[in-house]
Amino acid sequence: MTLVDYFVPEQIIVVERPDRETLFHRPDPDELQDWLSEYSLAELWEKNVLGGRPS
Amino acid sequence: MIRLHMIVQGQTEEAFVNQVLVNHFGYFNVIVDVRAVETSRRHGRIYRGGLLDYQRAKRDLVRWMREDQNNDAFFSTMFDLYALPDDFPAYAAAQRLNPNGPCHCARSSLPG
Repeated sequence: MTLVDYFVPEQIIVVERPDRETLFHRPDPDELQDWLSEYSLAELWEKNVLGGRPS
Repeated sequence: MIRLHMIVQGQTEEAFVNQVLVNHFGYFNVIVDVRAVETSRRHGRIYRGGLLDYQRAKRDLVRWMREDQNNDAFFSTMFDLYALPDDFPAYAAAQRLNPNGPCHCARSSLPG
């Protein structure tokens, strides 16, 4: 199991650096519920539904 | 501002979108983001490449379309034509096209 699979959406903060600043955001648990009925959090990270993908 | 949401097969296509399409469309003030259908695991087992699952791709696309229904949002796809699953829409009709003829551009709406 990937580490992120041990958490729930409310415990996740996504960190991204699109330009020259670091941006933090919390995913919306309601929006994720539909995705989570089919995928785990780790899969949602791999699919870029969560964000925070390596660049 | 126009947003182009790309649903793609996997990490290779994701890299292409991020490394090529994002900058290209940036010049036209179009924001591009990408999501992949495939993951490295399915049902807990490690999964190594292979056929795209059309129903899975369709569910992902429809889910994303529900998230952004604004008029300035557009959706497109990048799927590997090699070993494309035969339950893709109009698959049989596409098989009858002449691969050596002029390039055909097909447009259709998602069924159902």
